Amino acid sequence: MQTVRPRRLRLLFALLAVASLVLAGRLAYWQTFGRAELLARATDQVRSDLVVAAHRGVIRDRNGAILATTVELRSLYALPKLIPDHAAAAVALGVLLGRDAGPIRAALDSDAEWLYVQRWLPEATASAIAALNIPGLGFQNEPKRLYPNDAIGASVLGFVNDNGDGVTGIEGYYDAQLRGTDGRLVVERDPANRDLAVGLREAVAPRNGVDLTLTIDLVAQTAAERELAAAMKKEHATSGSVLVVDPTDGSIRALASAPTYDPAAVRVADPEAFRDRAIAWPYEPGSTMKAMTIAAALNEKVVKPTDWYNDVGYTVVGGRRLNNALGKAYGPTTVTQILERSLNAGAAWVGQKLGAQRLSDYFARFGFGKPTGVDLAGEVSGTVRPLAEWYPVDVGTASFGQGVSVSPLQLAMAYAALANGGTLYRPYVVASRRDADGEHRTAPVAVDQVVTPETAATARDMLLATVDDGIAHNASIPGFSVAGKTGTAQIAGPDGSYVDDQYVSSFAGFFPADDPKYVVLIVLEKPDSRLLGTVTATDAFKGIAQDILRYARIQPDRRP
Amino acid sequence: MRSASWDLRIFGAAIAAIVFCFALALVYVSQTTALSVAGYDVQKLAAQRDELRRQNSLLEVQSARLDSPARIATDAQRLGMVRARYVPVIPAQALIAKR
Repeated sequence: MQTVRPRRLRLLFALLAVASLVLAGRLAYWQTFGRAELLARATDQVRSDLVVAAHRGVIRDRNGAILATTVELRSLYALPKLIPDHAAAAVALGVLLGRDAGPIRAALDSDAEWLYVQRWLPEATASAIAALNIPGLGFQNEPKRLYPNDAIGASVLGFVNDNGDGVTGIEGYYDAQLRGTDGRLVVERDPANRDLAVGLREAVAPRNGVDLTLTIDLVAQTAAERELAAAMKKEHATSGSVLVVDPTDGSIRALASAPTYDPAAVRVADPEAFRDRAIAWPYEPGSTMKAMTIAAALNEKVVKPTDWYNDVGYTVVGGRRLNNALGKAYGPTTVTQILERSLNAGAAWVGQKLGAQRLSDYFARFGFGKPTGVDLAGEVSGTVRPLAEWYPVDVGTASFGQGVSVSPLQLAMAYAALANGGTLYRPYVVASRRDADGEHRTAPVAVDQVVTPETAATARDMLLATVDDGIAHNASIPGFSVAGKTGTAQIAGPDGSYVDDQYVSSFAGFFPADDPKYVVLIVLEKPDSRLLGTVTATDAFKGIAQDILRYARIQPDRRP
Repeated sequence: MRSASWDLRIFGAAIAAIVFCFALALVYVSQTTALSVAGYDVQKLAAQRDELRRQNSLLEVQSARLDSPARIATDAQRLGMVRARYVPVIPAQALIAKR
């Protein structure tokens, strides 16, 4: 019998003891100091950390019609290695997607592990592709901003780019509120990638974007865009804009700008179309400004409607001769007739009686030369030079709207002030916001009482006479009283001198004149008809006004 | 005899404790399983809810497209209709006076 030497046994025991100690120590380490690391590694294998996207808010018109909304559309992706027959798949997809099979086949034959075949498919197309049951094809829902009325309202709405950022218009101005705040969901998942009900679960709910209800009326907006498009087409005008404003609170009922674009196809749009000309186009207004000059003079009691001067076809101011349109002379002419006949010499006469200081002050009080504060991105202030920079002739030219520039919105708001009794309101487009806390309505903001109610009423009567008996007669609507003024202005070139035979034609009016509910302004840049471009502008005004009157069920205030 | 009875009692108690623990474990496992199954059901229902919401949103958009005044005008033109240049409006007061 062989005996084991105790020394060897002791050595073996010692080795085992050391090994046990090392193992115990290692175990103790993982159970204490290394526990967190082990736990993290184990959790990472089953943990899923997801961003829960906030839903972008819906934009509606004042009657609840959807103008912009975000919908999850299906995007088609491919795992090329799992597709058995690339050629057959490309042909089948090409037919359903309305695309050439060649580029699809090339994409499938590439080395990509995963690729989008086409994003944001129409639902019917996605369903048809799903019915093909081609292995290796799948769908992923992706949010897409949709505009159900296509290009209608594009200027006021703006658009959302592929990164989900709002650009221009309401989408741009209210982007932070509309987009909301994304949430987060951390869960453990099983091997089939399903959430485990038992286990780690941390959730921060997304805060969805606010829903906006606009002051825009889809019917008025459609009429405005239709009439503007027709006028642009007829006159081959370079650009144009239309504004419909409620004078009682400054809310904008319609805002159209041309050239325009389809928010669903911004990649092919002319970049110039993104400029909202109703707020971002400073132009010299011409004769539409005479109403402000005369209202200011009436308010300062410098003139009365019946005061008269002898019109010889021109007047001289600061050594410069200022002519009536076509140089026509009218003889004795009252202040009311200055508007009815749109006389530059008469407006300059009134402007001189008022004086440069007061004329400049009233222009500022009517809101010219500074942004209106409308809740839309990209507004311009227009230009009314400081009084110190006025030449002597400027009091004459500014009186009939040359040498100053305004935005269409500024002019519409000034007419709204005359229509409502003299109060200048801050224009606004968002009527209310709805978020998790409820609905928040926008309160109208009165900026200034520019003229007294009596002055405003007198100016209204004079503008009514301008349509009934004067130069703007084409704007009259049977059965309704209409007040308004045409405008034809020369266009300043890059060097500051006026360009020959190119004009901006416009018409600003409101109705019913006795109790104005709507102010409508139409502006056309460089119409083919030149001095007669105002006829097209008044035609457009009538088209819009008649649609609105019928739709709003406003009762006639006159015998047809 | 007394000692044997004690042993039996202790044995019985031990068995009972083991059975109780086993039952507890069984209840826990079955509850956990039921919870997991319910969790999967909840996920399925949530997915269904999301899909129905998506479909509803698509229908809302479709409805808005169909209601669009511009689309109606285009379709009317396609049907050969033309816009009335002037629509006379009779004041309500005049009608009331006639009655």
